[in-house]
Amino acid sequence: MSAFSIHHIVQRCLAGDEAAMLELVEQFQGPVFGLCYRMLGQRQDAEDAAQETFVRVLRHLAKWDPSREFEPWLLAIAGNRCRTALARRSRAPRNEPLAEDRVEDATQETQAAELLAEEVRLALEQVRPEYREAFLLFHDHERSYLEIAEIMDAPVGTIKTWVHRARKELVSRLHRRSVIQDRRHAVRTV
Amino acid sequence: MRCEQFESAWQALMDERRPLQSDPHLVAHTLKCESCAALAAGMESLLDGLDFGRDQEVGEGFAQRVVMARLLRADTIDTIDAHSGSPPTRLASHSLPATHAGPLGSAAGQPARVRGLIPFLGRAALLVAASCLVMLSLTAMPHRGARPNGLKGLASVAHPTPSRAERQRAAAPGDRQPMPETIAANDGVAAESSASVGQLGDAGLHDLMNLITERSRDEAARELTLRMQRLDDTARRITSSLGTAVTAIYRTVGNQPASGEKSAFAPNLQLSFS
Repeated sequence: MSAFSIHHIVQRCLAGDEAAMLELVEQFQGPVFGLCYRMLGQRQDAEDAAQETFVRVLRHLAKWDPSREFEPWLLAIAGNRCRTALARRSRAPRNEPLAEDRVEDATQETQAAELLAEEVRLALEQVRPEYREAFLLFHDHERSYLEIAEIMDAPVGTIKTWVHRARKELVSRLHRRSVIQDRRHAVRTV
Repeated sequence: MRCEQFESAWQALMDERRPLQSDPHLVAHTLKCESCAALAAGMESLLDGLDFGRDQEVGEGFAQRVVMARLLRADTIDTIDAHSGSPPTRLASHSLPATHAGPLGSAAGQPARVRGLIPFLGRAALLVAASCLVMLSLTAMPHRGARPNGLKGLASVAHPTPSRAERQRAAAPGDRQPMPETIAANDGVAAESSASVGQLGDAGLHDLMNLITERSRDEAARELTLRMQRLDDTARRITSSLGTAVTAIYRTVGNQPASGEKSAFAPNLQLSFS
């Protein structure tokens, strides 16, 4: 979406145009929900966090600085909501994800991919939230280090360190779970 | 190349979003070093797993739910004057212009007086829904002994007064106590029991937890099933009441949808314009 159209939508939202609010949410619900889902690991929690993010964004839309990109601002709020949800979760009993969250598929290839995705999700849950967020913003949302630094309100050097540590920790966890043993050969023969 | 050098170069490569294969020195090292090969392979797996989980989509109607939640919480709204660049001012939501297709359909063709009413209608719907909930809660309140119903009943939910049976239980926790009214209500007067669906919030949950810990598993399961049925019934009544309320609002505005058409923001409600 161009900068002009996002400015236009924001202006309409600020004027109380509900159709524009819908448009705004529909435009950005994918990346926001994606980040929340990766951060929280549960669909329902992710939807709650994403909804809370958008409600806050719509409420504080006037605080957005139009000279800056909209999406990093939005993702910063989503990241904050996720950290709040994680802190709340750490004080409450843990809910296991519902079975219906996991997709059943017949093919072996898909099952293996699902297993890998599930292992990655579990590994992500284990690393520190700031490492996880920085890693996801870099690799999943393909944001630059500068943007991530802006989103997470931390120096670029710190963000780099977090992403590097996240990579090593995640790979190490996948190894401990024997998820990638069989794939080693593939890299070595390239 | 040493392993520390490999890791540093590999991280730099990842930072540039380039594959391992783009650096022959790194590839050569992985052929000699098992642990560095494992690191590189692990990263590939990690990114593959990340790719596969990327197609998670948000539930249907998410955007509508968000906007509805925003509108329900909209006591005030931040606005800016785009032309003057003046700082944000806070306006009451009823002063917002309604020049768009809102939850009650397009208001563009309506007279200005009706358009001015639109922002109030969300609040009106909320008020009607809240009234329905309160009425349902009051009708389902416990009527134990001489305890009055109504608002005192509501107060008893927030600060439940222990029943005689509960007091007896507290006095002799080790003994098998007479079945409390909450469970003894299997004889057709269940709706009047203190465990009725009118008990909401923490008090209701506390009651349920007590039930599960104090009674046998089968008894607790039976009672829980009974309560679930009552809740289901209450939910149906609330949905029906909301449908009536939304129908009334559509009629007031005068731009009711065609027969069979659904409300944009509450597509599950049954609207009747017969």
